[in-house]
Amino acid sequence: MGKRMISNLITGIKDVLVYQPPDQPTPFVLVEPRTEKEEIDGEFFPSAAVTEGIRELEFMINYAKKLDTFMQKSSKDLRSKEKHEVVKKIKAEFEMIQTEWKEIKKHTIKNHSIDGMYNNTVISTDINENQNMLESIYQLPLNKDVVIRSITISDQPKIKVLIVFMDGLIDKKIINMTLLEPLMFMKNSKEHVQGEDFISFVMEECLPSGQASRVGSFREVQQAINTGDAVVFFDGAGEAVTVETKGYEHRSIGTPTTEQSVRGSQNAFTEVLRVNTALIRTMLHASDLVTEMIPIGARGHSNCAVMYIKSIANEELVEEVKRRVSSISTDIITDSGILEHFIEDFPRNPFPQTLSTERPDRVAIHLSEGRVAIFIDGSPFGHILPVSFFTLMHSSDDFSLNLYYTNMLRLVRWFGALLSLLMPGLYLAISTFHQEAIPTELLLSIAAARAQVPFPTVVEILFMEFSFELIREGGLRIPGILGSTIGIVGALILGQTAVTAKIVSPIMVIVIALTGLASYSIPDYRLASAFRLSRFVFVLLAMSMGLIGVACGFLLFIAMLCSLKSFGMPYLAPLAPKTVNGGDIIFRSPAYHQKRRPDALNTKDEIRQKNTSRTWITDSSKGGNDHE
Amino acid sequence: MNDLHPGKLGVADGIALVFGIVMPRVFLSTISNLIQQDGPILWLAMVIYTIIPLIILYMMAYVHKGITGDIFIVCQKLIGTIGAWGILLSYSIMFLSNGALILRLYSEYTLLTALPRVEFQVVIVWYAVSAGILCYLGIEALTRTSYIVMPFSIAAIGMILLLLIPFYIVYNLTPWQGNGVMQAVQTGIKGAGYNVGVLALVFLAPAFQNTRTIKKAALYALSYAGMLRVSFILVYTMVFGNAVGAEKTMPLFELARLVYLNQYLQRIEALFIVVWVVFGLLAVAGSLYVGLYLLAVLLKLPTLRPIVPLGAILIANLAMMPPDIGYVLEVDQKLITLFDVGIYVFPTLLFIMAWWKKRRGKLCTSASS
Repeated sequence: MGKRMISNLITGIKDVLVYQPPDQPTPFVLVEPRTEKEEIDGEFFPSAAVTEGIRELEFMINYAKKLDTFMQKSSKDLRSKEKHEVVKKIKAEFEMIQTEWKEIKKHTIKNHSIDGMYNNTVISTDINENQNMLESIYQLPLNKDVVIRSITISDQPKIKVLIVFMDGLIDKKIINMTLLEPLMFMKNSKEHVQGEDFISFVMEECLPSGQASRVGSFREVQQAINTGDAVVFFDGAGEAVTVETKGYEHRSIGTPTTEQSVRGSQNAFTEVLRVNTALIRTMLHASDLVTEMIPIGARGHSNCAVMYIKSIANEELVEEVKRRVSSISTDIITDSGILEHFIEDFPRNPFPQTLSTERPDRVAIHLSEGRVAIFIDGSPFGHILPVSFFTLMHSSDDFSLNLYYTNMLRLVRWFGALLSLLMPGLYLAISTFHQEAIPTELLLSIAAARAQVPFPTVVEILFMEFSFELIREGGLRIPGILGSTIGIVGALILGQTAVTAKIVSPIMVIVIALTGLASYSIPDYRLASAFRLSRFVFVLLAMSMGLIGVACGFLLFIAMLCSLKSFGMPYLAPLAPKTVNGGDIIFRSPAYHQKRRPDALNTKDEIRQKNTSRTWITDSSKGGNDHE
Repeated sequence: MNDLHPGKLGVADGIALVFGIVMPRVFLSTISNLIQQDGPILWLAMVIYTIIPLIILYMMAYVHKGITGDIFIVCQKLIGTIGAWGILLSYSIMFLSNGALILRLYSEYTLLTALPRVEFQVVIVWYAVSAGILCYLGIEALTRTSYIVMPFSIAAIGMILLLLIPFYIVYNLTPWQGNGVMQAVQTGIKGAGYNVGVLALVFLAPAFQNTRTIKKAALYALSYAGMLRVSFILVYTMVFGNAVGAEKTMPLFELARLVYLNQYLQRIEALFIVVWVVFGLLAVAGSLYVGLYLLAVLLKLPTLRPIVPLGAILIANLAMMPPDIGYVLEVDQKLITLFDVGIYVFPTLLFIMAWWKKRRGKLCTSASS
């Protein structure tokens, strides 16, 4: 007893004095997975997938050999020996072989699904095999999104049917009304149709769905299920039927947020591809407006729509766009911006080589000019291509407003773009290197304002530019209406206090504010970003060599633009190279004067409208019949 | 069609290329030297040395007409491989040395007018790198850039000439014979070598659409350059006169300095540095491109890009060699002899050979028939 007390006392003192780490669960560490390629004595061994593939092929070959031997032996036995015994023996052997085949099949299914990519196996006539394959592909019953509904239809003979769909992507009403109900009511019909004709019969007589098609491989099955269609498998048929049952939640059509228009259309694209293509159709009722769907992404499987007007668009251009889109080999593409990186000619160049728009009316106009539009599922922006630099400087309102007013606005835009690009650089160059260019009064005023600022002009510029970008970025991230308010307040307070604290001169605030304002006059957001980026380069050039640096930089800037191409079309067309002026470059001519489509697009039909597009002018009769 | 011969250059590209190479000298000290030599009739020399290169170009177009292929193949067929090597190497040296000389002159004048505290080597390297990048982007980018910025540059010069109207003294143009008509004709004939740049069109013929494009481009480029030169010289003479004009080392800069509109627009010469740089840089890049192109043709290189940095380093080093501006001007005076060989001797030789071969071919055909 006393011994135990002493022992407890010692343990208690030990517990108090000696640090005991608290009881904690073993921390989780994300370890690097074992690499597939292992190097042993400098020799590389094939990856697990390759080894598995080889093993699988060996199985199949052995099985084929065994089957061949069995068939030869059976045929020999059937000819020579007593039939009854032989049949029994053959039956037993056949069952063994069949069991072996099932084992091999199970193994191959497991292998096919390990990489998560699409399985291109053909659909089996055995519905249980198909179910096993689907369970293996979709990781059932672990995965709760995919539903496999098994029903039996028709009385004579009874046919087992599997209906597979992705919960959440489908409309349950459609499934019930157009799939389950008609198929289940088939029990009462006395039709006796079998085999391939049975599928045709079901499609023609029992499925009241707008879109239903036959598929033969699991790749097509997966593509259908993953995009919200239901797939119906029939026992004994080597094909399945996909039925359109899409019904997922999506944003309704709204107004454009980045390309607002005063007088133009107020519709904007949504995240649903089919809604977007339909929106264009509502604007452009051309029969030869083609929408081709190209699936992209081995895992994501997004549909990419390529739209063009067959009788206008250059065939080579269309083929090239389709070639580039279809040859994308990646996991997933969820945004039009990512798609752009994969297909543009110069992905490292900050200047946009496609026109990204959320407006169906812009897409319709450009399609009618002979361009190609591409959309990706899940993105509310479409790409128009090829485009020139001048197209990016056009706004959606340009043709909704008066000719002269539009041209004045365009001039303002071009002036704004130049200011946005060069103003800080020019100010730095002139105020640092070429003061003689500044009128004396202004020079004195600048000198007085700068007298108490302890930093060189370039530091002032970089500080203010950085602050401006910070306010812009912060304003974007702050949610809702607060964003713009805080942006304005931040800019005002920061500018005012920076001047009061004599960190920057007042004229610098004017320069940066004007530059920032000018950059917003560029209609394309990505083009404005490229200009902003280039502006920093011009500041550095001005810092190094004054006006000489700016002049050299500007020349190289133009040369860079001249060497750019958007899907084979020169970026500065129709200015460089000089091509036929369509009447809409820097300034625009009246709509009725724009007789030709853009020459650089090399369209099939170059003429947009007749020379006398306003026939009422040449028409001799004035007024209506009422006056006669 | 390959990287060297895009085959898409048009008239505008040709005009820009030639104009870019031949024009900048008018803004350098060349005019001051010539006005001292010829007096007020210098404009006539300018007219002559615009017409002669045009005739030479038409002769070369005739040479090129019957033979398909690049300039090396043309020369090889007419005067053999060694002769072709000799001629094209000489032309390559001419263009590269022209580029180096313009590079040095513009760098020197940049120091004088804009950046007095900078080392001239830094300016040379700066220009050489910029010209190298222009060449690296290719002939299409070079010519297209040229014809986008040229109209603005020419308009700016035209504006200076117009704003100087209050300073025009028409009497400065008298006596109209200057130091003698023959003297002006001689200067014109001797100075035609400065327009050797027009032959760039013939050398780069496969890059152009057809012979008509080349002829048209040469005609327009030389006409525009001639008109601008004559106007510039007339204004320069009217403003400064014969004696003062000969003293000025930077004619355009000196003219721009005189412009006074009001107290806010009185020192526009500082802003005209931009125009100055544009002209200089395009001339250096054009000369560098043509010089390297000829080397690429001789060495049968599939592309020009790998040798562009080497070419830029080469002309930068050449430009740094002369010890002072006086020596540079001396070299400039001597180099005109080499350019004259390029404008008179080689084209005439090739023309005679082509004419003789075509005549012999015709005779053989008629004899056999």
